[in-house]
Amino acid sequence: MRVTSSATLTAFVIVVAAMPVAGQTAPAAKSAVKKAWTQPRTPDGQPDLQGVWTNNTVTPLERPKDLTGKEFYTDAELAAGMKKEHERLDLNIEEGLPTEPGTAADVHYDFSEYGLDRGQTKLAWNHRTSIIVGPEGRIPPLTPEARKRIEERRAKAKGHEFDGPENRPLGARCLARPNVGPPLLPAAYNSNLQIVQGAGYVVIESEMIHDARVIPTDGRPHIAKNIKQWMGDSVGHWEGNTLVIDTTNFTDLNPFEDAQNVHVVERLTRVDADTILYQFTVEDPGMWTKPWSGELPITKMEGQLYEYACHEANYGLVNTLNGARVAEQEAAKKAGK
Amino acid sequence: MTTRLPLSIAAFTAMIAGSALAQAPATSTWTVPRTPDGTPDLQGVYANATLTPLERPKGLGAKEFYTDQEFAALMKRIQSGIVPEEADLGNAAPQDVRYDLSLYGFDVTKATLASNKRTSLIVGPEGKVPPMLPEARKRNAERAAKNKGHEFDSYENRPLQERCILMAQERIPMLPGAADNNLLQIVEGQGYVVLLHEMDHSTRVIPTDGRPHISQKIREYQGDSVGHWEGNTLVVDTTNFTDLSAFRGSGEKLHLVERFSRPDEKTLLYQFTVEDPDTWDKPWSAEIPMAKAKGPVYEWACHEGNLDEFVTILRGARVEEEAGNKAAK
Repeated sequence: MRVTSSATLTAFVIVVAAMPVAGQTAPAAKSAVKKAWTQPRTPDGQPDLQGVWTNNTVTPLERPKDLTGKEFYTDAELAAGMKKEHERLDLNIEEGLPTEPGTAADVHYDFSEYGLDRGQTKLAWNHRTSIIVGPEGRIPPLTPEARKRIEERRAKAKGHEFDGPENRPLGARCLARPNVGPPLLPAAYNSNLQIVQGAGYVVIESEMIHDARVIPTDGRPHIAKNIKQWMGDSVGHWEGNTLVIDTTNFTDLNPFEDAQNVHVVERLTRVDADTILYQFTVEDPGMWTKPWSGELPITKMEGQLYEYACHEANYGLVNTLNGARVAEQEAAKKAGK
Repeated sequence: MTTRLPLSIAAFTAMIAGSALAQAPATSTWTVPRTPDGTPDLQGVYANATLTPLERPKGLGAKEFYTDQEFAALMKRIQSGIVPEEADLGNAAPQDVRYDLSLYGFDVTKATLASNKRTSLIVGPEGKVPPMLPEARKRNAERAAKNKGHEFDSYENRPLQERCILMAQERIPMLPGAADNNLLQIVEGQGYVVLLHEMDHSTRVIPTDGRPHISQKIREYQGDSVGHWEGNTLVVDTTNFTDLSAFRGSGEKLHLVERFSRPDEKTLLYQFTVEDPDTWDKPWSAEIPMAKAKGPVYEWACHEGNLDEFVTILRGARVEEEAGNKAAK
């Protein structure tokens, strides 16, 4: 089904790169006129992206259905959204948010605890109604062969979801967190990252799962195709003030399950002292009918990243499997009687 | 017991640095390159594999270095596949059941080793970890007694390494052996140095901007590291360790000073000093030359596809319990 992806990725990236200029005209023009800001540079002349940043956001990856065709909120709509979020946060801090008894949210966490309610940490507000750009604002449809592949895998996995730890998702096994990507997407918490630039390298450390990508920018090619990694193989280069990162060599499990030839292009451009515009394009002609792109602001925050704990004192995985064993025993008893 | 600390850690570290310089071969006119912002350039990929044991073999007494002849003979034996008892193979020692040691990465005769004439990684006339203080021995004995009989109760009773939380070669101070996955990549940014360990694919982002340590209340497996430059040497100071990641019986007061320098183009010299007034009667230091290696550093897998180590240990314990119960009847 390669014919369906008519645009080459290169062409597509150029379109997307051009888009924020047009797309941003409205919000940027309306925001208060900022003092003249010049792009700082590292001692070797690279645009300086260093610092601790967050991509924490309330903007969903895909556009809500009732906003079809509407790519941006107006200033008034955004202000109303921010007000609503602040009220929700106040309520959570004072009383805790009401959750539906018996739901996972109800039993899993106390969301008024620091860091678990994303409103408690700095948010990168923007006018977009979804991270995914364009009139559709959604991940494009799967190709027929991808749908078949996914159905076959699901059918094979059905009834074995709780057999053992290997049947659980990568995140539950503390192996990889899909939001760390690439592409880097916000999660409900720990959506913080640190960038360090050296001569010939850019390091992006994600607080979530304490994973770091050491990205060479010295023009080297990708590693051999037969080496697959959870986070793929990233190589970078500079286009003007923009860091462009090209990633291939993903496994078919992360960050997009069942996608076999994912190619991600990320663009990081510092647009003011406190903001990096993060743009990405994902393509896999065997998975989606066309490439798809997203963008969100990454905002500067104070502080440093601390160590991350995944499973320490967290019995979610054990309880999931134990629960399945108990359910099996009960079912066997019932069948025996 | 702080009165028993005869040397300040700073003085002790300076002494070690001096001894290394004295011992380094006179290199040509090589000087440490600089990064664009003027700091010494340590960037690159290095292999920290070594056959030198941590503590000096008993028969060598106060002999801190092999002679050129002794060293050449030792290397010849190692390259021929005969590993003498003076060398410490660690995880790479022949084991019947665990690994096929001829696989790439496991064969120590194929590893990149930096030339090191030291008889032990620990420097000084003793070449040994100093004796543990009585209260530290008591503390560790009490902990061991509490754990005794519960080693296999659950995964939580197993060591951090088995749980993929903190691997031995990843933890600091870095004490490499001849084992696999011994690459270390260094990237320097303005105000930061990043160290990526191949083992467990873990990264330390160390600020060098003069900031103080984080609050003593916050404890981390790898502690809190802050760095600064002393001449051509990166000095990293680490505190805030947890008592879960105790280093050779240390307590929460563990204080680590690491020094990274490049004596020549192909070598990164790693030196460290540890002190803990609750554990040892004096600080102790070690040094390890690391050899420049070819990258890149790939991702690392801990437990994926590795069922024998963890599941089987616990399963084996359950089977033994059942057998014990049966025998008791």
